[in-house]
Amino acid sequence: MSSLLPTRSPADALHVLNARAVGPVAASPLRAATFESPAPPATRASDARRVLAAPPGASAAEKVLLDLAAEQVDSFLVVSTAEQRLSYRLLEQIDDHRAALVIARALRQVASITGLLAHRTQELLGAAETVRLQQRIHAGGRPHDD
Amino acid sequence: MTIDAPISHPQPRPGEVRIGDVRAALGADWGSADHLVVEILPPRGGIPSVSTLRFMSKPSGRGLHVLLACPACSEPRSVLYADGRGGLGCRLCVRHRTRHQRDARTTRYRSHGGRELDRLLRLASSRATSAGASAALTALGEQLKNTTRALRDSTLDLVTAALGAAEVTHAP
Repeated sequence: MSSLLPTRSPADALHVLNARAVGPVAASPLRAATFESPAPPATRASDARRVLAAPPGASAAEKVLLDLAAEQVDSFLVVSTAEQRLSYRLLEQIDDHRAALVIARALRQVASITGLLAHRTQELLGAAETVRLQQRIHAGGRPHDD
Repeated sequence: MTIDAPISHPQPRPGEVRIGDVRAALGADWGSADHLVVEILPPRGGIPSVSTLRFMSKPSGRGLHVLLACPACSEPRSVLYADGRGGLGCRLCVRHRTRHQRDARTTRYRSHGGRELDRLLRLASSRATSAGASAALTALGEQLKNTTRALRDSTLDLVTAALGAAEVTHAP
């Protein structure tokens, strides 16, 4: 079977798993193409910062919240790219239990950080919307309303 | 007098209704209304529900304060929360807990900037406009940015270390 697998790749790892489960399977170029690691997102961080720029007339609180949300998205993109790299490495070394264990542990911690950043982004964007609506609703109220 | 809030009526805080926001929304109708029909947005997403707010008076000093009546316990409350089943209730009835009460013992609150985020969100929604509040808001924002960057860098270090350890482990 080693003649069918000249290099190690995620497809090879899957092939090994399949071979263990159902016997020898011919290597598929389609499967190899499916599990190729994508290119890292080089420009998406700046795009996020541009999209989350505060609109004109925004209050100071809304600006701070949107700026922070953009920072969270920046960090999320960087960390999620690293998480993706770890995932592919885990798939590559799935037949090496000790290496896979090390990567799986790290992957679990990194996944919790990406979850934290995504949740925090959601909270900050929700808070910015709340501040905007509060500003609108209180602008139409009586001046002495609290 | 019944006032039906239109669908486009602003909902300042998803999942909760505050008496100050109700007063601002009613404007000139405040004082003549005895109840108000509002659309409640669930705090964590989901299907909005329609609920009726009733006003009641509470003795305060020499006068009376108009507050919201809790639909469950009928006590006057200044804040009502969505109970997750399409209704509203006061803090005691829906067992509402603040973020500090809920997360104070977690790592994300202690070390990953959760405490600063809590203070920042409370300060931002308090509509405080003084120079001190604005400076505090900016300082908290910078502090949270630094915490996020440190968290990102430590995570990248963790990934690098894991990949290196996996290489060493993998080597024959």
